[in-house]
Amino acid sequence: MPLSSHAKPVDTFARASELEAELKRTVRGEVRFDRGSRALYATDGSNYRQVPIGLVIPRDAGDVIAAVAACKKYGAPILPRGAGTSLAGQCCNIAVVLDFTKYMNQILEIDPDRKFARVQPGVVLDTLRDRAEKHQLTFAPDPSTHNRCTVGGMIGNNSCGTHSLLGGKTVDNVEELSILLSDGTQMTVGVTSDAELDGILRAGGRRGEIYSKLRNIRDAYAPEIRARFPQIPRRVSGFNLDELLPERGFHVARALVGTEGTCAIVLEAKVKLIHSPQHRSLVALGYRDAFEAADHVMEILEFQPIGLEGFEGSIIDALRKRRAPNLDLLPEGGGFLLVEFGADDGTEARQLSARLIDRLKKVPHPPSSRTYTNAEAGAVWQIRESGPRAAAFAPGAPAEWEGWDDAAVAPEKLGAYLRDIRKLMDEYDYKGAFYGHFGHGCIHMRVSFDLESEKGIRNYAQFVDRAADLVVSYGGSLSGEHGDGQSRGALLPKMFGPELTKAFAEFKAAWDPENRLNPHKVVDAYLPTENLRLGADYKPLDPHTHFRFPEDDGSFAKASLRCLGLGACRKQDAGTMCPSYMVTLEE
Amino acid sequence: MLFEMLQGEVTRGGWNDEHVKKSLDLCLSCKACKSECPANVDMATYKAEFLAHFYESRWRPLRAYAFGMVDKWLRLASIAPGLANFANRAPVLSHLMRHVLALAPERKMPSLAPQSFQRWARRNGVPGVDDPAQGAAPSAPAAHGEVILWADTFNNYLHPETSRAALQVLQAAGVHVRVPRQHLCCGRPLYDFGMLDEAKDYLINILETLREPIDAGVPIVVLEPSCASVFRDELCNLLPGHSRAARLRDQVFLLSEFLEHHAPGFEPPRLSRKVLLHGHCHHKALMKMNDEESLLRKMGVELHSLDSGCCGMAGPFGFEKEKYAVSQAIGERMLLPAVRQTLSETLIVSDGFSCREQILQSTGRQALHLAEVLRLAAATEHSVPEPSASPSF
Repeated sequence: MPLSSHAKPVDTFARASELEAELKRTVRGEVRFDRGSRALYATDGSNYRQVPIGLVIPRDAGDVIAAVAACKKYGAPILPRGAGTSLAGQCCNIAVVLDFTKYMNQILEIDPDRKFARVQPGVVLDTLRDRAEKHQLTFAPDPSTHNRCTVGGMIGNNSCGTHSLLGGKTVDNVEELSILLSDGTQMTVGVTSDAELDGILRAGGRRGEIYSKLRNIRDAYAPEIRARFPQIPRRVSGFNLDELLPERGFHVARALVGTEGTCAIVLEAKVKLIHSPQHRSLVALGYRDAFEAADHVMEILEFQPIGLEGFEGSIIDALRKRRAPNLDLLPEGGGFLLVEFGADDGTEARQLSARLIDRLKKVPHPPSSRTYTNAEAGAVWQIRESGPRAAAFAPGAPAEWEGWDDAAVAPEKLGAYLRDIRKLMDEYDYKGAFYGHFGHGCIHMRVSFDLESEKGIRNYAQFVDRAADLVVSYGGSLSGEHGDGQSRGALLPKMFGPELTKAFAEFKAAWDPENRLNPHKVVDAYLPTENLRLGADYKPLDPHTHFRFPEDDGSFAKASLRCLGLGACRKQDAGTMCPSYMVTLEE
Repeated sequence: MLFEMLQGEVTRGGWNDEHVKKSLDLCLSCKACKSECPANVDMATYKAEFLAHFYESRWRPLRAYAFGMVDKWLRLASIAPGLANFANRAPVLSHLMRHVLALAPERKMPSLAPQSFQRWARRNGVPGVDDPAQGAAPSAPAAHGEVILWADTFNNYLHPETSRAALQVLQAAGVHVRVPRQHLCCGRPLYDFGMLDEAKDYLINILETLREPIDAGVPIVVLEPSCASVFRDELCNLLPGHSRAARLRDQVFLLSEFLEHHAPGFEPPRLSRKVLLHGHCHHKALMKMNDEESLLRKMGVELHSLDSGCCGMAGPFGFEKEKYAVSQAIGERMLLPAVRQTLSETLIVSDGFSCREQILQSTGRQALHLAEVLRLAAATEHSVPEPSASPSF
């Protein structure tokens, strides 16, 4: 059994204090190697925990360059981090963590005519979207963590969200990246014409060397890439080597999207903005169950919605037990689809949903339906966004975890895949409700894995192994938007085969030959059962307390487990939580 | 951080860990996370629990006793409010007090009213809790429509006019109101300093003193949201399985909740004014603002509910010297600029004592408790000149 996070010693980097001194000397921003800071950054939104060497909060690119230089001098691994809401363990490592969110969070430029924005990596997605909206523009990918996730993090994970139906994945919306490599090399990368490529190769140097390697990878593996990369909307697993193909323009920036901080540090990004439909119209459809809802995805896609989400009725049941508001807004059913239309005219938007309702009335066994006003739509989206994770904490029920949270298949195969994965879950007696981006075949679930006993962990490993085989048999992708990280990195060979696994390793080695950028993620990845935050040796203190914590089975330790790294406490847009975070940007 | 504290691998101080203490310093105990976090992480409670243990082996700062037991100090001071106010304002004494307690020099100390609400109630014939019901035997069950109006520390000693307004409103709705004669405090300030043994004592005292009316099902109207939140939240977490505690929790209502759901004789008076509403953090987190908003709407006001987050005062937080800057930054994020831009004819409604203090001290505007708005509306309706709601300072 691989080591849990508790079995690994906390202070493994021998020259930590020298490194700290060097960083304090050369970085103008904050350098924190105290145990409190390290404790704070030891985990993210995943099941994993790795205590960092130290924390750097850079004020600007100069600080990042200085930090990387110091890390190079002492051979320390580096981990660039945004809000830390990654779900597959991307954001924790035994490394020097660079937190971009406190200072490097600015929008540098928005060009409404040429439709792009230049941003620092720590900018919160909603901050960008709010500014862009003033020009009736938006950044298409929108994960449910949109009010705290950062564009840098989204670039790292190739994040998507509801509106990938409207504008694609993060990879489709990145134009250029200014990057810094672990050896201190800086460059700007983007699409590369043949002429430009020739020029770069002739100029030589480190840049020439890297581009030469990339070209060799492209040439050597092009047939394999074309053959084995599934042509589905949400192929997010692995590295985007397909962006290096001639038909994609040898787009080096896009090839780096989704590399999860293992290849390059983003200092600045130039991203595409698309027109934001000014009026939206939302319809909910109620089916007998989630399988039936999934079966009808193709039918609904014909109406060209800009968002097509779904979730199982059991989520609503759990929310009902917790007396969540607004549940009566949903129509009858055991499985739901949320269909969103967009138009620049309010009437047109309403007409689009009316047309859907009309046509659905004529099918045999029509679903129940409800069309929403804008105010109601907000409440319904809240249910979709917060509901599934809130439902994972039903009192008395076992806790539910990430781990098999993100598989994606072609939308036309979704119903069949869901039935099969549910059968597999039933074999292990796992509970977990389906929800997510039904329209693109990317399904999320929190599953009642037992991550605290050896047997439970073995079962989890076995399940995930078989689930991966299942997804591959459907021609799907192990990750549809959350990224591979540590949850799925070791399973990638099943999906891509030995050749492409080698290609990924070569790609990573071209950028980071010393393997110091977020090591052991995606490539040469830790096993899914390693570095668990819980693990079989999870034995927290369970002290006597004044408060009796009746909703946490009387346990303060259990109460402390409620924090899953969702990061909602980092939002700055609406509501009250958390007043001091909002003004200090300190968690 | 708490997970790590209980692991003891990185932060090894357990309950004594300075890192954990530091990470909790800027928690205002607003309780927003209890309802806004999808996993309902309840930092305010965890902070109180941590501080209770952290201070087992240390002295608390002096101001913990000053603020934590503010009920006792105000009770003492109310013997001679004029003298107390003088001492408060006298330059040397007030400067010394601020220094000793590490208080922000920018903060003014609120003044005591000349007469506490409890004293006024007693002198004006309002029955206490133990007084016999009109004409009924002492052991008879509560008369229909009987209510206890909770005399919370702030609306008793500092703003009795708020309590008087609430009394008037309840009586006009045909409710028979009793006001406790005994000194009772919910203990809210104690939680901010982790003084949980004392907090439990305060609650047990209340459960004993009000044993009969609680058992008889008498509703208790609490004007101050942060007091009501003790009964709705901390009470049954400290005393789970205590059936009288559960009854008390279920019988405590904010004024708006009571009037909306438990006062059949109540007709919302009409008021055609604009209202800017700022909800107290505990109110927003635990009870939600629905009843407050629906009542105001029924009154016919033009209501603007601010999504203002926290005002920044949060009880003792905004008074603490090293927290003042953060406290102001929080208030300036949304609420204070909005208040400054509000026309003077618009009523600013905020039930929380802390919020009203913050608004007054930072903008000079006087905010009203819902009770005062209701009384204002009733007075306007009947064309009775309203009693001047003169502030105590």
